[in-house]
Amino acid sequence: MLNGFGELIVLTSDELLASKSLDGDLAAFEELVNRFKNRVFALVYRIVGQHQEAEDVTQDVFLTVYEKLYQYDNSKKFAPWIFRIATNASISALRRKKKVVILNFDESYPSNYELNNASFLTDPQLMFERKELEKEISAAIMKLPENYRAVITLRYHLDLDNQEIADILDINRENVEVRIHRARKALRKIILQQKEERGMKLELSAN
Amino acid sequence: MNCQQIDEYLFAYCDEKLSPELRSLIDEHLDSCETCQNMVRMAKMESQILADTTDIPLLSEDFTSQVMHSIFDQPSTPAGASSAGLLARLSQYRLYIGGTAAAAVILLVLYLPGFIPLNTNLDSSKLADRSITGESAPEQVADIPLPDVKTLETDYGNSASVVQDDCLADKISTPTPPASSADNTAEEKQKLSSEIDNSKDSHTTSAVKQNDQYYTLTLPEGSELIDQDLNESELDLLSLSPSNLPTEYRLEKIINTSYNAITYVYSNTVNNDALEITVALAYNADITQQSLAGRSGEGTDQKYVRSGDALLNTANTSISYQGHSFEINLKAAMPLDKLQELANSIKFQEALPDELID
Repeated sequence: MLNGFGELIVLTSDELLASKSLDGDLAAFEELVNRFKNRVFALVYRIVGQHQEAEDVTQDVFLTVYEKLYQYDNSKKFAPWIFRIATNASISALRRKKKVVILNFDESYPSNYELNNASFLTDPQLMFERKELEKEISAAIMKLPENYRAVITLRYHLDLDNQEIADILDINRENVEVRIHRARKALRKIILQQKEERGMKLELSAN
Repeated sequence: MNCQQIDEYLFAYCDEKLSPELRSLIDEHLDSCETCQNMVRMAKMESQILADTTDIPLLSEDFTSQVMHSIFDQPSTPAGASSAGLLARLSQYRLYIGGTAAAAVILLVLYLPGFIPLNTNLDSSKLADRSITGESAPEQVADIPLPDVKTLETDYGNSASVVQDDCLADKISTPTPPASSADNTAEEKQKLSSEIDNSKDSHTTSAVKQNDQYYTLTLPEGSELIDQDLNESELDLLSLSPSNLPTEYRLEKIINTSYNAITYVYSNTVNNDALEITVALAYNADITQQSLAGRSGEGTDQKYVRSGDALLNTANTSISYQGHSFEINLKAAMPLDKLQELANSIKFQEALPDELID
């Protein structure tokens, strides 16, 4: 069985693999890497915004996880723990760089693209609109504060529940919904701003 | 219901989190407002796109093996305390020291009047007796003759050539005794010289023997990590490891940040904050004298490094050891006064860090 990230779901729990890794079982740790690498990378990439940088940070995340495994509380779920490390690592990587990273959309990296929504492919108008919006969102998302990017990714990409998101971000469960709302509003505002700016440019060039 | 109100409920509406009453009110408005219809359509599409991972690039195919290799390359065990892990960490430590810091080690040894043999069982209380503090700095410098630095500088940074030079190698194996050790009045110096006197005749052999023991402790069987060109007994002399730190600090890693500096990275096991302590050898004699003249009697100075959510403060201090000045730099996200307190309380011992001694 595959999950949404194309990762194989097997019967051994993440938590069991974690405690095996702690006992020095490198194969168990390798399995954990394989299970989580795409999700961790997606999270890191969304926050960091650059492919190579994100890959480096992702690698650091797994090294940190390996070093800090002894701190992991086996009675809790493993996924939020690793996502928490990944979120913190990404945000501090950004702060280290101290500059705004702009996504480069012309980068032609192979992507996970799947034909997952047929209606967008059959209706040319919808497909065009969606493509446009995809670009808008990708550009806008990197203009969001990093904690908004994190919460959006945790909710919409990784499909975590509010309690898990709260644990990862170290905030109250009640505040998760608030933060998501604010993040979406902020994203919205940026998208509209982008459109406005482009509209003005179009007007100027028309004149 | 006007457009502004719709905007407030937009995401809740799209996520179907609203009461039927509110919902029908919004539907009513939407029927007559094309702008809001577009907003809703856009918000729904947005949610889909945000949930979509298709724009995420693929990880390198060999990502997993890269991670696993890094783990092999930087051995540290998650359990932290197992004997295999300790050996791995010690050999890692040895590599760091033996690598680019080798030149600094050799330079230091050439300046030394004699070894201070380490206690056989690395008893930490005895090591603490030999802790070097900033206060004793000026006297030591005045008494210890500085060797010809120019000769050394030529080969500085190239450990192999320094060691292979016959003349220099002689100096390493038979260190010059201190010129005026008998005249010393300073308490610290007396202690040092008495130790040197006691061991003057036999210290070389005892140090080597010491180090035989040391290596059987630190290196895994069959390991070829030892830099053969290095005089092995020198290692301990550069290892001015921080000690006297509060117990919640755990050594995470040791990095040599440049060829004459070593950074000890600690983590606070209580709040997970990092603390970096950099020990840099001020190798140039002039600079050493200068900085000592400028700094003698002076405590520490701090400065503000970065603003933002995490305030990283730094505190600097310097110590003198065997005629050399070492710049100590502490960096951590903690209040300046706390950091200064820490900087003042820190001691250095010529040994492996506490954490690496079983």
